[in-house]
Amino acid sequence: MSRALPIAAAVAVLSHPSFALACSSCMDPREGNRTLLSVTVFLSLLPLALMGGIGGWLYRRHLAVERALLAASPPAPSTER
Amino acid sequence: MTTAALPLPKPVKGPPLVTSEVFGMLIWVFAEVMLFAGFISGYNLVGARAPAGWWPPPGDPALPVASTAAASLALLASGVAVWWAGRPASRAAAGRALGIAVVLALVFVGYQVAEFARLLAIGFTLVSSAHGGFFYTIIGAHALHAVSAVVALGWGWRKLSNGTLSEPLFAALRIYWFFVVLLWPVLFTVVYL
Repeated sequence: MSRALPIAAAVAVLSHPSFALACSSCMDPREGNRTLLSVTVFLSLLPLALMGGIGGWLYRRHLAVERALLAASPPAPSTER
Repeated sequence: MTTAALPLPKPVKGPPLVTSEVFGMLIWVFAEVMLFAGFISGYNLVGARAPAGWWPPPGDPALPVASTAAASLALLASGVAVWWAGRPASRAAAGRALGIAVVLALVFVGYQVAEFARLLAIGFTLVSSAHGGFFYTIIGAHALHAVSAVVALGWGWRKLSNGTLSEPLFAALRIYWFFVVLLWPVLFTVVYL
């Protein structure tokens, strides 16, 4: 019974398809989709650039900390006899 | 000549790459950048769809470019003061710089409140046109961020004066304020010019 209701709801929705204009600006022929394309590229690349920036900054921090630790650590004892 | 097996080096625990405060703020700013990127994209898309000469709509009042640019200088100067406060210096010097930053930020926020009141009084509202809706959404969202950042800076200033402001917390506050300051020229260019 608990499963029947969502299944019935899904069947009801899927059996009555219709067009949904989700984006009012996606199909406007006047703009030739150039603005849409540039906005799509901008919104696609921006998070990648941000993640890359934060990742690159963390990597540089990692290298700097590693260099500082190496400089501060005492020299390894010689193993030659 | 013989060589003995090298002992495995003990793992050395160094300082953390980034403090929790700074990393949390970076994630927050990341999300905020995407929010404003969405706003700007929507604004540009709607503007591009409008017929030539119809964006902003002819009936809308002209936005006060010159006075807003002047107020922007206060905001940018505030960013410089916060940067100055973060440099290695005495606590008193950092406190003075942070105090100046708070005052300059209040000037900017005060100007924005007055500007909003003037525009609302002449009928330019959130629902008067699509341009008005975008204006109050984008610039209003930035103003809310500026207000919250001013409160945070004031709180940080008080803690700095008490000597209880930790460096990671101060760094996180600076990152937030730099975000608010550096975002503004982008919004000003897109919405006002």
